[in-house]
Amino acid sequence: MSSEPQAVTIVMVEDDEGHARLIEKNIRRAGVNNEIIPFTDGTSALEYMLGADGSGEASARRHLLVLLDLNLPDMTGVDILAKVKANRHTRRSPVVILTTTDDQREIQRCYDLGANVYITKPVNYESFANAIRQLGLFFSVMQIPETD
Amino acid sequence: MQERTTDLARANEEIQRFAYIVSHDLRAPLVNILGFTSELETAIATVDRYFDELPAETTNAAAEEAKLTVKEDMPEAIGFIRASSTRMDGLINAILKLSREGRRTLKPERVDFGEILDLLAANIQHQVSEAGGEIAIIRPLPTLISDRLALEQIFGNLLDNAVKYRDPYRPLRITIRAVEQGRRVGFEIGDNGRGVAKEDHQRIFDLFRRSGAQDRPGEGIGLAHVRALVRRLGGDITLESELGVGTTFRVSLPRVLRKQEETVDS
Repeated sequence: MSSEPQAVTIVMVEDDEGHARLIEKNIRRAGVNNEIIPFTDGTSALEYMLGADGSGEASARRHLLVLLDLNLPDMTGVDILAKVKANRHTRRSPVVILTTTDDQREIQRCYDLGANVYITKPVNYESFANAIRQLGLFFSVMQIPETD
Repeated sequence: MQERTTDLARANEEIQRFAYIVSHDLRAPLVNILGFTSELETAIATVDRYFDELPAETTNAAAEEAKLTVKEDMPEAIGFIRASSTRMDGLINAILKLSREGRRTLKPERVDFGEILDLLAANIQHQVSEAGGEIAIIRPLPTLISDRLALEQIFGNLLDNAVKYRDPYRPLRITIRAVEQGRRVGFEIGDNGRGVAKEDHQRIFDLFRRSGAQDRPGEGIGLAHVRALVRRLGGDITLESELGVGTTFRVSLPRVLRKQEETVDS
């Protein structure tokens, strides 16, 4: 960690704008005030994290936490996860998968690729809100490394 | 014949996958509807409190009208949105459950049918005795090579229905027997319940369809589930029923369930 703690930015990749808004509201309710940058597709999210050249230089010295949905219009979240975890600048950034799929093989694949947390979106809204709030509490105590 | 079976299996698999995708994709917008309904409710509560704390002398006709909207119209609208989307949630979950069940790999094993029935009968014994009824299991009952869980679900559902749709004016009597049919076995589950009208004999096996007075809880899932399971086991189900007299379900199953290939998960 740098001596001067730098603010952590939450990158939220979620194509459903309603879900994105509900996630943000409930993270805020847990007292997390970090900047949240929302993306509704994979291409623009990757461009932000890895830069237009895809080198990942863009994220050097950033503190990123990635919140990733697996069902995106232009690519699957698994591809994004693989790219983020394969890049030397972004590989240490925690990635939280937040998706509707509870398929065991999908979960294993994500952890194999280096996902840090996998959460299945509860269908019931109260549980959904509750899960996000708990995730928010978790965020507030988590250490996020600076990227190389 | 073999070719036709393969085609059928493929068509069935496609429907299962379709149901799975549909139900999964329908859930996402539903989370939004339920979620923002909750948000709206919270927002209304804030406005409601504001009106409660408003000093009486500052009020006017417009404020009175707004107050009424917040206290009555809005909660009513939200109540309907919530009830309907919760119901939809239940229906989607039912489709999902059916498609999941359809994707489960069957495990053929030696199953003593009498043993299964004893277990299932014990589960409903309390309700049956309470209604002054009885369950007659006519032996001998065969041993099959089949999927135990599927059999339990099929006959458990049929027995539950017999209890659920009993005629309140006479003691319930359920009779279960097996009929030899060569390479197949026929099972009969008869009751003296309220019966099913002739025009509903096919319909009750359809998803979300029910028959008779809608005075019992349920979504119209049980028999659709039962028929899907019976067909997966390579069997068939029919019923004979007369209104006000009773119903007999006939389930015909192969004695030996062939081992199937692993079904592919999406």
